[in-house]
Amino acid sequence: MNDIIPDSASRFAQSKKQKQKFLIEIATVIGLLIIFAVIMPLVLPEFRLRLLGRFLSLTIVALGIDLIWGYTGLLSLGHGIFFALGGYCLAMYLNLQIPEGTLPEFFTLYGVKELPLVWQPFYSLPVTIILLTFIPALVAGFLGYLIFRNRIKGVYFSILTQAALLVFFNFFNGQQKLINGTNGLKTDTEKIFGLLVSDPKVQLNFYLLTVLFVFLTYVLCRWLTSGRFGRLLIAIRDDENRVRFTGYNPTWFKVLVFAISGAIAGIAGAFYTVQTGIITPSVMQVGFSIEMVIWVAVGGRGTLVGAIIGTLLVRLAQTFLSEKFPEVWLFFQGALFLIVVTVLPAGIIGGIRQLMINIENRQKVVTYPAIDINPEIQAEKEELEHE
Amino acid sequence: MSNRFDRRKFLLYGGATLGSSIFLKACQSPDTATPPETDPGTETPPDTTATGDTIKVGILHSLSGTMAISETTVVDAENLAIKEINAAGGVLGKQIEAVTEDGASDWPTFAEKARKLIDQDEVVTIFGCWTSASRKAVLPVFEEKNHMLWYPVQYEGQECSKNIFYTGAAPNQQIEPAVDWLLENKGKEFFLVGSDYVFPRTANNIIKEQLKANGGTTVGEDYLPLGNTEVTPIITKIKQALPNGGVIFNSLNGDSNVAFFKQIQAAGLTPDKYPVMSVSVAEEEVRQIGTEYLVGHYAAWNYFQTVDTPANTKFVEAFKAEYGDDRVTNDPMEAAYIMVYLWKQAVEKAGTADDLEAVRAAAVGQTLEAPEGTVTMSGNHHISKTVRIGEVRDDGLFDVVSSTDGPIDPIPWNQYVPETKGYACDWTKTDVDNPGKYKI
Amino acid sequence: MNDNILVIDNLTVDFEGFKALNQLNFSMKSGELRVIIGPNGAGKTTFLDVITGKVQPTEGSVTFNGKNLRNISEHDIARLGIGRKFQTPRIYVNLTVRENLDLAVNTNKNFVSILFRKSSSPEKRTVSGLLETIGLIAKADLQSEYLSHGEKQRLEIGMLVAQSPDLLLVDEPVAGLTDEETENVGNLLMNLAESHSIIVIEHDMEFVRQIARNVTVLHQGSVLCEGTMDVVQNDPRVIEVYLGEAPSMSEEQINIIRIAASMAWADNNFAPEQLEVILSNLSREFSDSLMHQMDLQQELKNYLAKNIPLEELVPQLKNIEQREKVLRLSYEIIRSNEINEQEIVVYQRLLELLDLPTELIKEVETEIEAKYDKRINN
Repeated sequence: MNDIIPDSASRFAQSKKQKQKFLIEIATVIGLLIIFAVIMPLVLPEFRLRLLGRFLSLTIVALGIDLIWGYTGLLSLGHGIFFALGGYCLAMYLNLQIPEGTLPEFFTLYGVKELPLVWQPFYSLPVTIILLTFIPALVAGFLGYLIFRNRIKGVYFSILTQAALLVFFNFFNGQQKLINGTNGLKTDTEKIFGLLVSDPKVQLNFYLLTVLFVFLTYVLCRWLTSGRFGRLLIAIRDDENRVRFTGYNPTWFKVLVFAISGAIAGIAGAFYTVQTGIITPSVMQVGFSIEMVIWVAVGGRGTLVGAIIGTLLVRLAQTFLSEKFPEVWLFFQGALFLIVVTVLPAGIIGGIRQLMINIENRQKVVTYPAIDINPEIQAEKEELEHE
Repeated sequence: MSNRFDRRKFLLYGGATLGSSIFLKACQSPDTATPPETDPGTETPPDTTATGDTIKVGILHSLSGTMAISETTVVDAENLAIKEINAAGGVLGKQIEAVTEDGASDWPTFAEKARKLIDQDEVVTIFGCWTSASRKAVLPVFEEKNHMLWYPVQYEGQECSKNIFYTGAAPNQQIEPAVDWLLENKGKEFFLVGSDYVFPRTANNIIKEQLKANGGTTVGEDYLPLGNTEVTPIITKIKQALPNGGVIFNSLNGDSNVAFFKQIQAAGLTPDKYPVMSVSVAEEEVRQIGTEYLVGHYAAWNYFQTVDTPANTKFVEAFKAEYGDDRVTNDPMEAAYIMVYLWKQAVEKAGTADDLEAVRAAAVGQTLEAPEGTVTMSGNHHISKTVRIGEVRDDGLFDVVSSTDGPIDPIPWNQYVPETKGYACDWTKTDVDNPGKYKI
Repeated sequence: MNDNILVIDNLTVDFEGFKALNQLNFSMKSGELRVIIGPNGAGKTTFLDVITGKVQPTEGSVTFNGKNLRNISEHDIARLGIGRKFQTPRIYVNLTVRENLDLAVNTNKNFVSILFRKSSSPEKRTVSGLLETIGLIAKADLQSEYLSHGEKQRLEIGMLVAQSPDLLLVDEPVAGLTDEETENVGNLLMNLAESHSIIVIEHDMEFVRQIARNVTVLHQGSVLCEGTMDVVQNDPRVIEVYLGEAPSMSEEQINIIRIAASMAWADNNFAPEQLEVILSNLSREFSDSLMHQMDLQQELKNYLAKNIPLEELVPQLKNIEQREKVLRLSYEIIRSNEINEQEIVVYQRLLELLDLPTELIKEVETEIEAKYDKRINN
């Protein structure tokens, strides 16, 4: 019984510390909500706000990437697929907000006389909202199931996701009669609730909705990663076989988390599209999906907040650099990535956390050698056993 | 941040002597449309023309990504025109200040940057875009802001926006005459190859209808994804479809062309039996693909570097002086160069650069002695252009083997395609519901 | 037959022509602790792989608690009550010790429960109890990455137990552990054996002797012999294929090795150079073939991780040649890195015990010194 006492005492201390951390986190999140939802719309000009809205919608997909990469160890290079699917769903709805009996304009170019079947469900907004979440989730789930069932892991998983991305990219590019091929679907000149999508008021609402969804996605990911489910994700990343021999079927958990991540990407794609004014297959170019991973890496994987900060930083830097140095901005950007990767391998948030730990525990460094021959450890162990 | 930059520029221009600017203003007659070749532009020292105020224009092309290699040449041509105009005293006595943005070969980025140029930099017009996809991406922005884009590349037509001026060829100014010429001189059996995106597909739709109407046949049609270099299957199909020779109509783009021309030569498809007519291969591309693979093949354009007009001699000289002797000029560059002058003429006629409605109205009817010959802005916002067929010669330039007698009027809504047959566009028309597309 | 927890009948696993298991028959009773030994390549790991569903048998069947395990997936077999411990510790290094156990103790391993159910108090109690059993209470909230090797081994065993399996499969639990840790793990297994059926695969014969009641010897994919440790050790076939052939070390030779190991342990620090000297010297002495030497080095590592008093070992040396060999080896070991005081003390005691002529000692020492000087000068 003696053993229980130090145990629970330390747990108590730890839970107190955790509570404190939790409060700080809530305060930060609420603070950021106020800044983005209230202050930014007042301060920023319309065009800049719309830009920020686009970046914020990208943070949503970054959160989804962090969920599968940072926590579960699945490096997807194919999230452009799910992003595009979400974007296309909403764009199709918007393109159908036209007088009854008429077709979206681009169809006439290809001599299409009748609305293709796949467009039919997108007359209804509720159905569209459901589909823009569920189609990416289902595609991700199905793709994930095929890959995970065959126990394909690590770099092979990444390669397969990228291959899938190429398949989707080429398919969308070639479907001119269905979804206008490379030209994609415009949304700015379409109407929603009778108002033009590019109307500043509509855009402000989209912006606020984006902020809300960044918040909701964050809360969802936070909840998923904090409980047993989150620990299981980390367990899958650390040692999938152990998980399997403990009686869990990692395949289904990976499929689930990949599908959730896909759905999140779909939502992000929808918000991105309406604030960009167009969705084209180019969001499924290889580079864009890799960039998503870079955002998370820059912010710090497995931290959630890092995904948000990384995305905003990279995108703001891109905008700033390309406006100031339109000819050479890519070099600057490359240099920036190099600096972050070499100086802060754990990303910005990871780096800050490491710094905090170093300051906190300057004396008590908690590293133990792997092999049990360190006399200090022996002594410590004896002490513990005499307790 | 941009405020700081603006202030610096303000100081710079404000520092010039006030007297000289008044003097220059007095010398100019803004109401007359002055073509560049009659303007003693280069003789005026450039630094004496500052007025303390500038007219901001946007330049929006891909400076990075796959399209950069083509689009940067167009940017050079636009900058050359701006420099010449500024040296000649600017527009309405004001210097043109170009704000350049990188569309990065990414269509949403184009839209974002267009928005930025309009909202943030408050430019009065934008010169930009190359691919139809990028143009389609920015079009909603220009329509929403009721702004103005000048677009310099030949394209597939089937579009006629109030907010865009098109200085490249419409299909009836490039593709259709090329097909007519081929039918007359080279054969009736056509094989169509193209990259898989909107321009080649639309172009081939037009060609197929045209052949049907004029007694030719389409023996085959195939597409490669953009950037794909696996051309062997296509060449096999061409050989099967045209065992005894025939016409290959090529609307491939970029890297695919390199592989295509190398392999048709390797496969023994020589220009005498298998002439290739290209609509996306100009002087710059000939250099990249390799002249030896292209000698004897054909291209259809409105402008070649070898075109013999006084304006062209001047343009080529000025371009080489600015960017180096090894540089070549081509059709999109020429179109980009003249569109800056057309805009300048329109602004001067309207007497304002800021009132876009006035500039738009003034633009229609503007005539210019361009390097390619006389061009006139039509009511449908496209320009009349001379059509030429060129044959690649040993030095990588083109021999003009055929040329229309005069400029051809542009027809954006294609008259071979059933869906748009009988439609026209004229923004000066007031008696129709939709001047952008009305039934004749 | 009903009290047999595991029955393996005529089991063959054929990896494209190579029969890792060949018509193997095996059974064990509920509550038994069985040790499986066998030379490398005997099929021990494949044996566990088949039971846990990682490898499907080509022929034959595995029956657990009366249920045929063919075509049942790994996680379902785990849920049926078979827990497996791998050779190297397989734990979740980014979770704390408690979290590791919590994931294992959870009985509802489906989505809904994982997402919405928190750890129940019985589960929490089980975890606390287990922390006590595996002796990691003080480190319960430490990230398990920072545990020592032995602690990780114990944690993994704890995770197995948390699953409350009927049958535990344990693969070489003491490889690479110190004496003390070996004893800890041994005790842990003995405790667990009171309430579980356990199969242990082990190389360390000392450890086998410590825990084994029944031993099964595998050889070339089949059971060679079965019985108590004594029976097995005296079976001529076993001596030939396992104890006799592979390590090919006599009692005396092992003795020499142990003394050498004691020297290396003198300062409580087994430096890698010292290990190197022992391994290269000894394996060369016992075998000429390079392949065999490599095998032997593995084998020797087991013997080296022990610390038995010199007073027990030295008297067992049979003749003066052996004593000289010990001297040579010992001096070289302490010379292989900086000689320190503790080593000198132990070395002096060794000299006393060896009782060799002073000239001989001098001669050997100078010879080795010269060798090392030369190495340094080079």
